[in-house]
Amino acid sequence: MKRINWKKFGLVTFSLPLVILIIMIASMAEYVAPFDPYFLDVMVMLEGPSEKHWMGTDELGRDVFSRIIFGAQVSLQVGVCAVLVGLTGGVFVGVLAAYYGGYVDQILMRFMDIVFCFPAILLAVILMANFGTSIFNAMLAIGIIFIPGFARLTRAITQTVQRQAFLEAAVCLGLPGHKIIFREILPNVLGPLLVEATVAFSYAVLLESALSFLGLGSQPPEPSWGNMINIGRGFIDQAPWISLAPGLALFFTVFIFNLFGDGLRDILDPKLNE
Amino acid sequence: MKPKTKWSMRQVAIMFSAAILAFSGSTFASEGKYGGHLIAAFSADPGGFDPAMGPSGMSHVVIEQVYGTLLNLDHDAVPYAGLAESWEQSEDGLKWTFKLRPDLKFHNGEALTAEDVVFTFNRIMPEDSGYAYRSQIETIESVVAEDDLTVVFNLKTVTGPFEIYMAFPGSSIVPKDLVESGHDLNAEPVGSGPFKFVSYTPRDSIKFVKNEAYYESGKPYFDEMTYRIVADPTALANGMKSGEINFSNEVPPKDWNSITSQSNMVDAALEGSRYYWMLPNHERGVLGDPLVRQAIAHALNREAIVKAAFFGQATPFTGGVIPEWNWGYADLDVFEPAGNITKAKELMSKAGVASGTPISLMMVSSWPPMMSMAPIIQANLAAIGFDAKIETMEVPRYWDEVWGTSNFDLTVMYWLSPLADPDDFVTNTYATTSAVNVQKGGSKEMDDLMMAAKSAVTKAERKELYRQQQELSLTDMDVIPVVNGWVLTAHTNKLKNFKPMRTGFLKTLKDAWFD
Amino acid sequence: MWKIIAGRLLSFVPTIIIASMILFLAVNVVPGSAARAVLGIQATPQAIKRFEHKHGLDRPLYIQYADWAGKAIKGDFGTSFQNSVAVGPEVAKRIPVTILLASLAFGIAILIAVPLGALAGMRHQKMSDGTITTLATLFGSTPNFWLATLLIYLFALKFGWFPTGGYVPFQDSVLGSLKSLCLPAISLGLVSSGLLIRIMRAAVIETMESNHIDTAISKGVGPRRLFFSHVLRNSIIPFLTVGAVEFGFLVGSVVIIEDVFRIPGIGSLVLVGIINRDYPVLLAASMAITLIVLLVNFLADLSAQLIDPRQVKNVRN
Repeated sequence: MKRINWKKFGLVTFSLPLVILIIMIASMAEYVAPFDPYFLDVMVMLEGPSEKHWMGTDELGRDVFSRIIFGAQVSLQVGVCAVLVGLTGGVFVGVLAAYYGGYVDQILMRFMDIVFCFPAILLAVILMANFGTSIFNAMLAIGIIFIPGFARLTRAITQTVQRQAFLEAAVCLGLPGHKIIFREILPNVLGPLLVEATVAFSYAVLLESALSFLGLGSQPPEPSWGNMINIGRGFIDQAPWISLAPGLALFFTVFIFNLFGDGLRDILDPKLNE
Repeated sequence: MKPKTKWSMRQVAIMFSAAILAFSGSTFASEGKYGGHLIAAFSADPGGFDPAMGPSGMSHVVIEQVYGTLLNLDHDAVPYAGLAESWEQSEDGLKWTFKLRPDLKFHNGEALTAEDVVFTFNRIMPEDSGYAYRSQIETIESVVAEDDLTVVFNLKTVTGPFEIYMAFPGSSIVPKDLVESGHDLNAEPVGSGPFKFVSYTPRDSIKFVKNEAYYESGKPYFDEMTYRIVADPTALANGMKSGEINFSNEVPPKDWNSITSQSNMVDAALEGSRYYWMLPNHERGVLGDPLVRQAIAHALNREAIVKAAFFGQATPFTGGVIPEWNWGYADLDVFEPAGNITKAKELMSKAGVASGTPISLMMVSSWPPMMSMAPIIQANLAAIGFDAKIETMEVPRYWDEVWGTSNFDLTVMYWLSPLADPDDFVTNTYATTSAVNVQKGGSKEMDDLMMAAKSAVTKAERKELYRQQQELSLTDMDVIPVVNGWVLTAHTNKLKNFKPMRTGFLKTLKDAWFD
Repeated sequence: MWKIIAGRLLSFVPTIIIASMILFLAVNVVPGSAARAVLGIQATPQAIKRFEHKHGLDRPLYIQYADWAGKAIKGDFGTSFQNSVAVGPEVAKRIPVTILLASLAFGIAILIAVPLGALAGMRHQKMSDGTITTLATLFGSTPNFWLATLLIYLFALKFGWFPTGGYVPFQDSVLGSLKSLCLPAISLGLVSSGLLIRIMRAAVIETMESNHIDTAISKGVGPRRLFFSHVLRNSIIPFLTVGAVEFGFLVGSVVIIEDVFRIPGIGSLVLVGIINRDYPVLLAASMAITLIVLLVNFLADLSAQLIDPRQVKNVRN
């Protein structure tokens, strides 16, 4: 009888409810947030946390708590889209490189290696200046940065799978190229890719905030954690909650999703964690 | 033809007091104390130090300390004798004669004569010189040195603001021999100003040292001066609070109260000419109708904008754009500071604008005051029936994609007028040919009025013409004046006799000393 | 051995060249023309044309690249659009600052990672292991710019132990210099320590599970000393390879941290270049950062290959 190691589900069990909570709050921001994130009242600006405003008001009298919740929506949207862009591009390149091998492989992977060498933030900053500062472009830029990572992973796993026996069987059966890719290679790649995607997601959320923090992502008055932290910096001595509260939300979100990623790794391939 | 000699009030006063002192037999001692090191903070890097190159405002703050000009402006923007000890305008206004002081010297010891003045202006007058302020000197037909100490300017048309132009940093006198020998003034300026240039460390600081041979004997008082470049406004504020920086005229509005409430700081804020105006694109739908533009102008709650965007440190415009402190001011009380929605709505219905007309407000996201005033303006627009949306863009893209191509419905811009002459306040925004007129407005009537006002001979004539121009501007409502930001200057209380300038420049530093 | 070094060098050079091409392309396609960024509201069409001609921006891109690359090799990186000052010397002055900051940060990361990682490894499968691993994830998830803001608020503004920003040059005052870099280095180092804790932990676990220890004990070597020497052997390669990648992240992150703390390194210069569309500055600063990262990776990779090629292959997968 196979003994299931229940311990490896521990982390996921702990983090999954929180993950779902964050996703739900973000998607239903309009219902959860007590105030309109754009509604301002100059009379109550820079007020500390109170019964009415749980996390105080910012420099234009807007409710910080509501803006944090809508900020979650922005962050999660960018995270998901960036990962999708990265996955699509990365898997495409990786499978292509592994399947065709030879020159195709060399050229593609060389190019990926060089792009991979650029520090992510540097690339993100330059790309955003290139594309123009908006949420959509942030998704694109961050997604592009992820492509080499996903490509490498996909290629490595595809190569491992290629060496395995049942693939030879499929070739013997005379299945055409693309069918081999879809039926045999992809399913085995999915597991590690899922783990990688979760980690990438957290990093995307972090990168988006970093970009907005630098003024190169979503622009004010859009509620985004990054630009809230940045603007709050100017008021740090008068009203520290403006930047500290969104930062806490960011920290918490990234942490929970990283824990979830760790948990997934525990389940799918415990050896990877050690 | 009897020439009108101009004696500035200052010269009369000096002669008078000198006479009294001569009678009383006492020596004329200077009041100030010598010594000390002024550390001023600015937010931008200069673009270079050659007066002919410009156009960065930060360059001018350096140029005015290192170089001299024929005339200087005092704190109220009134011209007085600079390198020229006297000057006169011909009766028909087309000829200006300046008499230089004797024994003027550049920092390298060379003498400053009429030859250098002629050289300076011949350098910037040609069309391909690259001088950004050519509009000031394009009326000059020729500059001639009658002798070593006399320079004559022959003008094509009467130029009202001519004295102001001669006090402008761009008109600084440069050393002919040095420049002709190939010296690069842009990297190392050599002039005749109160301070000598020592060094420039990019993005860090500019250092000056006292000019011991300055022609105004007894001045300046400081031994040295450092301009620190601090790009981050919060850092600037912190530097002032901690005392590392003892002077700044770029205090961020949000930190104004916390800095000036410190007991060792002096509040020297002044209404200058940092005015903000809204540009309605005349080629976009209903904005082509003056009634609609007037409606928007009446709908704005300028009081709220002053509070939210400027933390109280600004003056709402209630009429024309020429501010109250300037002689060209016309007391036209047209706008209510908190706005008049009823009147605005009347105008809207008179213009026949349907309720819910969409309109977009494009603001620069890199400038905090713009971001703060955007929601207020949006609310004001909504109150009179527009469906207003805020769009934002950061600075470099904005210039290209919004400003340069006039790709906006409504946008807001600000202008620091360095000249303090009414012509400078109005021509840039209203003239049909101005590069700043991206709202595509203007009319021949307006152009003619401004040209007449600029070339009238007496100040009284000009003042009346500017009144008419402002009245016209309020019926045409080419642009919508918003507020006039103050020049937020604060300094240590050890600094005495510093008079902040309306123009936002710092020439008056030479008259100040440390206690 | 020299063959390995030569081989690696051969592939290093084309990498730099291609990287410079990519950067050049990326920088020059940036919309928002440099002319308008410098001239601002006074940008008349003639002024813009004059500006672009003066800086050679009206030539085709490949000619501009060839010109730039040719001059760059000789050390001439052009002059800033903003203040007409030569870019090369400015970048050269800032590089040591960034390297000092990055090294301090990395040092802090190692200081945190080694003891914690060792502890976690030795208490493998116990409570403290899980706690420390979670702590590692916590550290790695911290947004460095938020941590920086928090540190400034607490230790600079409230307690006044450190300056709120700015940099005291090393030559002027060693203590002052370290004080001004302390908070920035912590912001960077704490986050990097997350991954390094795991590496250390893994190395310790592997050492404990391997057979070498039994063999060594039978030889009569003291258990503690051999334990640590084995841990060292097992951890050096992973630390080198993963550490180099982490160092790369760190150097990239200085772009943000130098901005927050106003440290005059090349990170903040990148931002200055972008905000002002100052292409020569942006290009030179980005190139410098990329070069540092590539160099560190190159050296780490080389050292790893020379020390123990087999382990390198293991860690790669």
